[in-house]
Amino acid sequence: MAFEFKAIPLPQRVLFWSLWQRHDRPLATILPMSSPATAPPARNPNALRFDGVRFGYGSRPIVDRLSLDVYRGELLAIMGGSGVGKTTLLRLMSGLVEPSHGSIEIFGEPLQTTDQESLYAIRKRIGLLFQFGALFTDLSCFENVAFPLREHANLSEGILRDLVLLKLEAVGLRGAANLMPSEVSGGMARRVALARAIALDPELILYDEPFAGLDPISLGVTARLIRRLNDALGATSIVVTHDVAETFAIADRVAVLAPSDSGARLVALGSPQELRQSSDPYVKQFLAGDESGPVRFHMSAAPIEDDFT
Amino acid sequence: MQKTVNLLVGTFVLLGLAALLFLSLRVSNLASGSSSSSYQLVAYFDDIGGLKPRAAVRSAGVLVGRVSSIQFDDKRYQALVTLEIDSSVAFPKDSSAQILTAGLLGEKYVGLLPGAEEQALKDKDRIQLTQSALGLENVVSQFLYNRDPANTAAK
Amino acid sequence: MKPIDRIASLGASVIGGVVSLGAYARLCALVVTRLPRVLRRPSLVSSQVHFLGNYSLLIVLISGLFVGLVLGLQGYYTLRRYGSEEALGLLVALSLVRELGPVVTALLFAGRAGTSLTAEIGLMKAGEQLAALEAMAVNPVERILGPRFVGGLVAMPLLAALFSAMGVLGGWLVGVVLIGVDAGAFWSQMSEGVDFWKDIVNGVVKSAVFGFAVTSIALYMGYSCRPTPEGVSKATTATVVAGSLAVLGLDFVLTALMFSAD
Repeated sequence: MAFEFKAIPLPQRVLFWSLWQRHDRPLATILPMSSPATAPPARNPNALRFDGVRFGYGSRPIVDRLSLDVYRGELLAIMGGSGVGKTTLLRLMSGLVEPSHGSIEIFGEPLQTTDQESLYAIRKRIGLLFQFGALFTDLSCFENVAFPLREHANLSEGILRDLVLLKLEAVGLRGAANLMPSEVSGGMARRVALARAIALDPELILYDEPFAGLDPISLGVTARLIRRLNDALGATSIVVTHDVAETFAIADRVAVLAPSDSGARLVALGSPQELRQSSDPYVKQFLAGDESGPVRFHMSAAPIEDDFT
Repeated sequence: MQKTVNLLVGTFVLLGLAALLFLSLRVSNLASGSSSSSYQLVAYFDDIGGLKPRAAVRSAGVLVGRVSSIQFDDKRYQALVTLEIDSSVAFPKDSSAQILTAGLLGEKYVGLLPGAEEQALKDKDRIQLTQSALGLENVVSQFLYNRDPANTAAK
Repeated sequence: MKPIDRIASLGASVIGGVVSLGAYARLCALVVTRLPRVLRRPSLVSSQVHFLGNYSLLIVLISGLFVGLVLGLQGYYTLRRYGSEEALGLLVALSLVRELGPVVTALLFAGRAGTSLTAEIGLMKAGEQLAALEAMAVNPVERILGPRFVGGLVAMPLLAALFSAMGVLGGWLVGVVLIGVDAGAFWSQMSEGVDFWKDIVNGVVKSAVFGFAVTSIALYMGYSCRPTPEGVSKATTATVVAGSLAVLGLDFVLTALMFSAD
């Protein structure tokens, strides 16, 4: 960037940056003004595809033959009981662990490439928000958000500063730029981590339990933020959660995972309305929060007479 | 902030290198060693005792050089000792070399006794008169059997 | 436990040890092969040299001084029996440069810098920071482990040299200033007897090898620990124990290799 960037007004600067980021994609797919006559070449409609994926730790199966398509631009929620394997799914999606069977495709490219270069190239297009933020504790909030930009984009300090402050502004925490992660609350730390996850304008954003442990105000704020970011960035979002109310308000589709002895299975996939009318017993118990249903209250044990005589 | 860190790291590295320099120059023999030019002399000995390479060569007690190598000559069946002598000292052609012991249990070193000739030894010259190391067994046997010391002058 | 169970558990721990050794070797290979990329970010390496070297400076200098003082004292008492007090300088210098400098500095380094390395990396692992780096397409070996490895490798020989230098000064303080050994004899015997190539360079090589060992062990323990408070605590203990044993074992091997032909 040889010319004077600061002379351009702020909104145009942001647009310029977004365009520069996507320079490898056809222009027609970025600007929404393309007419049908000049429609872009057919791109893979799926942002993500799971095909018969199986995964386990040693002899313990976690995920059992999962097949799932995630469309570009949608907000998919993955729900299920605690410990069913939702976080493992996110790790499979970002390539942090590898499945034992089946294949995973992201943006049409298989994830199990042995080449670190291509894996990292895919990862730069994904933003991953960890459950507790996973901010770098020795860096300030500003430096945390600036980290991916410093590592992967060759920017001058002035542009970098503007971008970081814009990202923090998008999550409402521009005022916390110079604070350390230990000086902000847990919910705020998670929002800073969200700003870091979208620093490179990812096409796919993965959220690991973003609503866990938040007060009602933060819950609403975070839910609306996730939806707004998804639409503004034109990205695909996958939210792993077990918070029914907030998620149903923002999700396009919901997938429900039920535990079984051979790992988690997909028992329902559809829009929130479809799920509310589902007849699957696990889904009904999950959505209603019932004590009785496929998931029992009592853990299996010897008959009660044996313990109290 | 980064500048302060770099300054401190630079200071640390400088301190470490200064310590290394101190060790090399003051503590070790680097400064007094091979810096000055030297010439070589050779000598044959019947028995070098425990003489080792890099042992001192002294004359009148002053360090004038070092033993550079010790080899076995299988034509004369004697030890061929090569000495590196400081170029600033010259010895007469009839100087003699002895293998002496520093202190009671000390290391062996080569002592040079100057002769009386006008001409001096040049580079690669041979010292004609040598006296081998006096082993402990020889001294004891001399004392016990009152014999003449086994003093052979090499040809 | 029945005797057969004891033997079985012994076998299991031996196999576990061999497995850990293999994992350690693989991590070392990984870090070493990525070194060229690490060296392209000198600011990261410089911060680590500051963290590992500068912060250990005080303990190394003070320990060196005290070790030198004790060596001077003990050496004098022993040499006086054989009338060789003048060799005190030689004794102090050789002991420090050949053995005590590299070894004691490495042990201090393992305790001070090694444990902080292990704890830092273990806590980063527990807080998912390493996974976050991977998810951001940044190789944690290059970004986190590599600079710390180079920092330890650079800092150790410098610290060992400082330790030896302080020790010699300590010996001089006790021998010449306090007791009254002849200063001329002290320094001249020392400089005649200490060989640059055989003693000082070998000492530097030793400290570099110890630096490699201690830093790599500390990094491995932190990288492979269980991401819980107990896991981090066990890992820091393991760093000190394994690091110290490795240093002492390597010291024997290196001494035998370097100082044998005398």
